[in-house]
Amino acid sequence: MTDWLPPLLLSMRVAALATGLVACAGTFAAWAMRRFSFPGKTVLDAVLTMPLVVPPTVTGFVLLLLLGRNGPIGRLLQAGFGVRVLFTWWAAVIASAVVAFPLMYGTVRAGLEAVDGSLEKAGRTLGASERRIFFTITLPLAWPSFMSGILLSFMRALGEFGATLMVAGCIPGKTQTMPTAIYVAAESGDMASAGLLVGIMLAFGFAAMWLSRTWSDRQLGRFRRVGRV
Amino acid sequence: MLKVEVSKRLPDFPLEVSLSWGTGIIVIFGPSGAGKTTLLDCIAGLQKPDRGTIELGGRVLYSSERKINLPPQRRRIGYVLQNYALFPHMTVKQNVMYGLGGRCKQGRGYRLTVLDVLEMLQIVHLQDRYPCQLSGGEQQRVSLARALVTEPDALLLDEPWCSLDEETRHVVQEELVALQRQWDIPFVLVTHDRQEAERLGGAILYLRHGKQELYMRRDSLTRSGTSWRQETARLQNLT
Repeated sequence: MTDWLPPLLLSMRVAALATGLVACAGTFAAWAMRRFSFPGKTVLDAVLTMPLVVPPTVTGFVLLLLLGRNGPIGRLLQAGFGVRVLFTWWAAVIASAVVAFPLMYGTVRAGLEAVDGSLEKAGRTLGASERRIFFTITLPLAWPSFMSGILLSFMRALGEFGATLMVAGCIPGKTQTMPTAIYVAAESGDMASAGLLVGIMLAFGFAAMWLSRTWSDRQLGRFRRVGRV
Repeated sequence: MLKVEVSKRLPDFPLEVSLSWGTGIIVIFGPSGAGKTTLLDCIAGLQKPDRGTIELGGRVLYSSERKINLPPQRRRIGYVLQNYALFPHMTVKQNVMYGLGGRCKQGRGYRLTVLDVLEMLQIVHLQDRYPCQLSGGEQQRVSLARALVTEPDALLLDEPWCSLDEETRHVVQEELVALQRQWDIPFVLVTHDRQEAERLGGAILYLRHGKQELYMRRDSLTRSGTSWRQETARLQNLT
């Protein structure tokens, strides 16, 4: 029977880090895309959303090229810091982040679009900096989408398989995450181990959905009291 | 003194305005889609004109020639937006205090307290409510208070009464006139209601398709002998 604890802990760590990265980058990208207009904006939007629609193995392949010893990012990291990313758990973090990014970006962007632009105008005439306007007006009003973006990204990162397998491999105790451990266990006929891991993942998935439902109900309640819905 | 001389290309027609106004209420009047809100946005710094100058009390806010374009944050202009744009997630008090927080008012005096302004507009008892719990007239007062607490050098109001019923409208209009006397700064009021323009305006600028078709001042008329009412009747013919 495989030890279920290391893959679970690694999966949690990878998903948490990836979500943190994606929360900052996705929110910033969504804000910038709303605030500025520039040539090629729709092209950039399509590129940012692409990991959502291409197979994870395709994302994995591209990352392999970028992060590999001869890839531009891989060479930079090797020369600058003497770090090799491929087939370490950091590669799993990067793969999960790239795949989860569109979920955060898309959700937050929709949330920001829904915020009345005249509130930001009012903030500006009252003398508030763009930064203060974002953190005190725009983000609080888009909070429900921000939170659901976080949850979706976390779950997507937790379940990431294809790209992770390609760039991080499946080294037990080092880069083996829950999904890859399930695959390996089932492949080798160890159904008991696979079943245990699957059970844990199912419990997680259910808890996340249940949390998000009760949370969004409460949010709706709050906004109803404040009269926005 | 507010001096505006700007032109800006809009999708359907160019906006061209030239006005100069001391303290008192100047009404920008005209049909919807005439470029009235764009004009206010240009004065406030939310939109950029193509050419011209904007000056307020001797300070240059915008000059295409000298390449000056102060951001709205530094123009010291209060702006009551069309739907009041109150922050829905903040109480009345938090809304009114917004312009004092952060570094909004850095390097400027505090002659007034929040309580002074709340009292002036008779909304002290509403301070812990949320905007959605207020009537239209109350929301308008809060929006005014929020703009005035920053002690602006001019106040812009974009159709501030369009969502109010007739009776409330009269009350708040009287209040606005009184408030203007008290503050003694230029108020620029946008409306598409002719009677409102006639009653409140110390001057009226009639704007149609971005063009300034008529500009009249109450004080110059008394000298020429015709009454304000006779003069504003010309507006009726135009509309």
